[in-house]
Amino acid sequence: MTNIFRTARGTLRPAVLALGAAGLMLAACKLDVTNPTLIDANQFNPAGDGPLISLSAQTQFYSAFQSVVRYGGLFAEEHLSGAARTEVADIGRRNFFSANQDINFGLFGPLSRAIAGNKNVVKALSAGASAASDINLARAEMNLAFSIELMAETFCQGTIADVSGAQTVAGPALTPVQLLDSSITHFTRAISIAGAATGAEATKIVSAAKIGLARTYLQKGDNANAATAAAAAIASVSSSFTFNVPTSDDAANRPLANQIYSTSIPTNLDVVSATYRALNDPRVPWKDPGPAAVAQDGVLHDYQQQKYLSYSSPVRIASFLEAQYVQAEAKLKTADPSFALALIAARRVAGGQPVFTGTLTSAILTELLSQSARDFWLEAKKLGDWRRNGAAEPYLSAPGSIYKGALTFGTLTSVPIPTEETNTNPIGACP
Amino acid sequence: MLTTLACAPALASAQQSAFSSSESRDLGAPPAGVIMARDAVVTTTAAVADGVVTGKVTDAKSGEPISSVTVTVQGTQLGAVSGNDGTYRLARVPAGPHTLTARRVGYAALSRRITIPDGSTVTLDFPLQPSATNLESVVVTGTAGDQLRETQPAVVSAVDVSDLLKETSVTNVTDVLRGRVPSLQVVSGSGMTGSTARINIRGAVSYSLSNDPIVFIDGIRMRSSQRDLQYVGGQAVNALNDLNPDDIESVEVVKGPAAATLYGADASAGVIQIITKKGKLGLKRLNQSITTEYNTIKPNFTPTTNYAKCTAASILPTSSSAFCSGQALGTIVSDNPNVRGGTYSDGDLRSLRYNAQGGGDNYGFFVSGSADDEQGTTRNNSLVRRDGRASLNWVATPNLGVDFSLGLSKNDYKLPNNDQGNYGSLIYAALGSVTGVTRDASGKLSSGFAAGINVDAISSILNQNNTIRTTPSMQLHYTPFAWLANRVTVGADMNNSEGTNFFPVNPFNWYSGDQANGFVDVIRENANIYTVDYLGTIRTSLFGRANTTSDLSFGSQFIRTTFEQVEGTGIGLLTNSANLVSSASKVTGAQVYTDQKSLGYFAQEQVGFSDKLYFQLGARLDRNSAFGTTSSSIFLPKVGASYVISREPFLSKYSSFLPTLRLRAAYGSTGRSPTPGASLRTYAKAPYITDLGIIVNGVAPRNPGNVNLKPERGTEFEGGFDAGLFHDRVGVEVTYYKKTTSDLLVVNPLPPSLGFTGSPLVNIGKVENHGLEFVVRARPLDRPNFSWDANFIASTLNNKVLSLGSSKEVVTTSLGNVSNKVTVGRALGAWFTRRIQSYDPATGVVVVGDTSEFVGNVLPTLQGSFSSTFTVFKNISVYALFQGQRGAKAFNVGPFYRDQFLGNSPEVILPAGQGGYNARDRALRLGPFKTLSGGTIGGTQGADGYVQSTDYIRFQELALTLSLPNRLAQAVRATNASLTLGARNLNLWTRFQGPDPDVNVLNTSNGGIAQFLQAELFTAPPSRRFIARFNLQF
Repeated sequence: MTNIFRTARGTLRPAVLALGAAGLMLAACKLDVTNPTLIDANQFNPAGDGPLISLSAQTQFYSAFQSVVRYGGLFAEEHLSGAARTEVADIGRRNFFSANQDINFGLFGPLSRAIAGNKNVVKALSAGASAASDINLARAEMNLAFSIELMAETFCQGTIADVSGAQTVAGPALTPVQLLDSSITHFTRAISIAGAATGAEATKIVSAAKIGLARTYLQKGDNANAATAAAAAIASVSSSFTFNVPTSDDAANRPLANQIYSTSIPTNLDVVSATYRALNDPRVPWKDPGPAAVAQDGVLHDYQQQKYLSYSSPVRIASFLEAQYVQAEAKLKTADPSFALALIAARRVAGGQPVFTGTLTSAILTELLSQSARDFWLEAKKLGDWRRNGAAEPYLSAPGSIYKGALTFGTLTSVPIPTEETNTNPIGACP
Repeated sequence: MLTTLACAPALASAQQSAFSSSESRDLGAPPAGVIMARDAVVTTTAAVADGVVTGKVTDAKSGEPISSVTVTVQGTQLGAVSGNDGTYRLARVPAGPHTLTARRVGYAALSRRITIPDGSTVTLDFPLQPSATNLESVVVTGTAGDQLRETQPAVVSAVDVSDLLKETSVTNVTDVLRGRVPSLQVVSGSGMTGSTARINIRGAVSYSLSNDPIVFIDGIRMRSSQRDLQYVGGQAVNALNDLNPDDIESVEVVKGPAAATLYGADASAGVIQIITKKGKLGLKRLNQSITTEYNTIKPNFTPTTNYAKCTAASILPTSSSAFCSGQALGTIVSDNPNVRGGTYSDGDLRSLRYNAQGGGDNYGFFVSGSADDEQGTTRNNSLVRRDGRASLNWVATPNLGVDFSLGLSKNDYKLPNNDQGNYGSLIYAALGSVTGVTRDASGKLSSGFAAGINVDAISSILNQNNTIRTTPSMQLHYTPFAWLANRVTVGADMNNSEGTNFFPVNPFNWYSGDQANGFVDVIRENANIYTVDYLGTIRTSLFGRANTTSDLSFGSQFIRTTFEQVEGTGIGLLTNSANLVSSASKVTGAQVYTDQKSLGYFAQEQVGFSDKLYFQLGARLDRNSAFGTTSSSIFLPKVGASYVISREPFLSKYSSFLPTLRLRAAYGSTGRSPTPGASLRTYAKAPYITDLGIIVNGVAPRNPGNVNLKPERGTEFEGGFDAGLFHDRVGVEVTYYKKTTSDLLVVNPLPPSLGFTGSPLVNIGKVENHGLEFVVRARPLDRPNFSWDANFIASTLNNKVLSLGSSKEVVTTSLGNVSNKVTVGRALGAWFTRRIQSYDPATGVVVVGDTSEFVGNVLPTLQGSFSSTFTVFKNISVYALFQGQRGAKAFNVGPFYRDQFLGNSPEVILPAGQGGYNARDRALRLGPFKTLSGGTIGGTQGADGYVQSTDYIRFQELALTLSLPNRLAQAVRATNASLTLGARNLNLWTRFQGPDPDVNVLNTSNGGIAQFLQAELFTAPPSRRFIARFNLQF
């Protein structure tokens, strides 16, 4: 035992010195580390992988579109917020300020990411040798156009980042008309590029972009071009055509799921309002899960939408039917009610309603909007319809009327730019 | 043969251990205040080279033996600790002259010089004088090696945990710190067992980064951050509380850059060093201690009751409403689902702890084990802790020592969903509908909670975190020459955690979404920190003068932190027994890995003059992988001076009144590094979906990064004095500090229109904390059968953002219309809202400001505590601790939400005079509102009144400790037996209208504005404990 201690003592001194030296050597070591959690931009070349960046940016648009379906739908009263979170309830009653965090969370942020993401793709691929027929570029142009168009429909004004330089920089304030003009430009490019390409997706992009273009002209108030574009779409697009957000029930990728389903049936955040329940229209399906069903806020009864019944239910972005609506409204506003009356008749049959007998243009418009509200319930159309048509838009509560409990509806008719943007990009409040 | 020799007539005091700062001073006339040595007895036992020193340490005043006194031989690794009878034994002391020093907190150190003849046994007793100043105690934190407190220009606070546990009712490490260190604020997360607390020292130094201090155990960096439990709202568990306080000898707290420079570019929020118990060299016997403890834990609050008025539909005879059917319209009904369901009930703690300390001539050992089973105040809240620690300190030769230490602990936490989280009992009760409560066929009322859940559903959710923590360390001390000391420290803190979140399959449709049909989420985490540290100290005399000393210290420290997390989620289970992730119908996985290295070189020169004036100059050069391998090093300087002016002859005439007076001033710099990879431009994983529904991995821009990123730089000046009054029976410590963080790391919020999901950190702005700290330790009464010890601690804090680059305000977060803001001229995270300006009784209109205004601070501007110990007949002690704060406000969100959104509070529903608001108070909260400039304004205004003062005084601790008569102890063959009866959180005096101001809704957030969200949001307040502890020593 004594020998062991003696031996140990003998080795300890050099051990101390060795450890001291090792410590000093450590001091000379490099600080290289690996952090595989991060995707370092230096390791990735966007221009080198067109499909990847284009399809990724498309998903940003899909995400933004679904956010507009939900939050725009709340703002336009297609459904009510049963969330305990006050910010979302305030959006639902159109009574909030630009500081409301959900403006950015639910609307401006997703749309901005979709716009900037697709603009980056356009920038990266436009210089390519096959840019004139690059399907990835066409896809990005179309998604960019839809995103800008949604921004114009939703907000009192907008802004688009400038990605042309080495650094992405904020852009100036743009009026809705300026935004729509930009959207028209990108839809037109998408049609052109996809038209020069071949294959099923090229056809789909051309079709969707044509319908989007018509919608954009209509939103701008350019009814003549809207009617022309809609007619062109109707002439070239299959009557069964729809351009959808594909969704997934993959639990690991909930952002790719149907967001309206997510926030209604499994989580009782959003509920169907009395107005829509009273329509009794198969195009507005809902159910009452029972007397104990209450929304998350403990105030509203949890009337659940039945349009999207799973995480993987697709969400319609554009369709032949929409082209018909655009054409009908554009023609009606250029003194030709025949398209509107025909469409109303067909859609009332679909809804199980009696024949429409109105003759006044205003009544026809209101009825056309009513049918649109039913056909495109929770499809991000109603807010645009309301922005274009004001008081003619049905199923909206008057300012001051009761929202839920002691809360009342406010006076907003469009969404202000969030302070997250105006604090960092001084574009000012809406004029 | 027994020989008695006379020792040197006047020996210097204030000697140090092997790593202490200065050589023995001039052996001439002792300076004022230094205790003179007495005689020693030498017994020659054998003709061998080494000798033995034995003796007894006693209280010079009472003559009572003192245990746990460290007796060291200067310039060697030799040391011993006195036992319960005050005796000590030092073997293998080389023949020749030596200086021995005895030290213990609460007593003035005493040094004695002795010459040991060959093979002799020398008896040397140490009668120690009580002292409240502790200037001659050794500190190991914030210094280059062990140093005397009197030489240190900056304050290092110390808590003697070993003594504290004998007489108080603390149960964990954060309890140890609460109210015992000036400027150290502990904010509870909630009253749930195991939930974390947040610690701030001298205010907040950062907005983006954590303000938690870094923590070391015996020189090894440890993980001190919170471990999140998913889905439980603001709840987390704190790695700091994995430690058994019974294993801790003392805790030292370095408060800021002035003292923390040597800890490098990560220490600006302060450093906590935990010094664990070690063996007792020379004890020659085994001291064992067995402690058993039982706590009763009271919830200490009554959950709020919901009120409602019966509606037309609910009063119908056909209505299913249990409370309203058949009632008159508007009948007021109430319900308290939590009380009715018995959500909260008394919990308890059962604890058994054992430790043994012993040692021989050249070794000491410490072994401990403990088992704690704590049941919290809800069914699914518990902590099961098994802890063991072993250490061996071996003095291989007089100049070579090695310490081994190994800590093992297993902590199994279960916490309920709480705060604003889904299925939190308080928020789901608040969201419940009173009129919606029904009766089943047996007449039993339905739950009354939101979403149809009940207490069984809430209690069946499992949030569990099981952690095995291993902390090995080794420290080598080598003193090849009396003037050169080396220390190498190598160690690790390895945390292996498994977190589980489980929603059982049930036939009652309790849960929705992914949790509806059985859900399990398992996270396995390896969080490891490795430390390699070298320190060398050269001590010499300067200018050939023995009383001018130089301590040159130098070293290097390398710390690597790795974090790996693997997560599996299973959705949809067939049975609750087959609850593996892989048993689920849908399985997902995720993985995270980060790695961070920091490397620092440091050097410090300390010059001492006549053991009364010390100058210190030091610096550290740091690099950190967070900034990339090409970034330049960070230079962190420090400078300071300490002057024990009471040793000057010109103050000797005041020595009876002012025996000790030290002046000190220090300036230093440290930093704070961001998270790994913070400077990089990054993409985020963003899977995309094809038209065929196939999911493919994609990317999206995440963060533009910042190649110019630097650490936050903290600089601090502190100055003050330590004084001993009235024969050192009263110790006073006064410190002024001014701490500035420049290059403040702020998340530069990019315009959302740029399309990034993250925002880069930038170095802009400056934040300042300044304040005054005041400590008084006193023994006002000291009679043979009665003594009274009292401590008073107070500190002020003025926290202010000085600049934010080109901005005045960069970040806001909001709850309702109340925001935490980072604003120039205000404290970090200050509260802002539209203030109520006026109320017109005629119209009922309330006028609010046009813009948000400052309404209060989050951090208190004044904190204080008062503790007192009465000891009667030397065997009965009564300890009490009061703690308080003022100057801060918290957002009382619960009533705000119930009043303004749910409308189910008694104040809203009940008529005025019967518990309801009067017209004025109702209008102030519910409007109608107009702005000051006359505009109509909607939204939920009137939040002003819910941002409430958190001024409070808390009766934090009360403990009665009875040392049982020896005959009772001896009946069970013990040497001592004691019984402690105590309580924690006995009473609270506050104007805050929630259950308790001391909660933090988002305590899981280690950084960002969320760490300033001092808000009560359906959070269970701190519990109340009643404690019985029985201790036996053998």
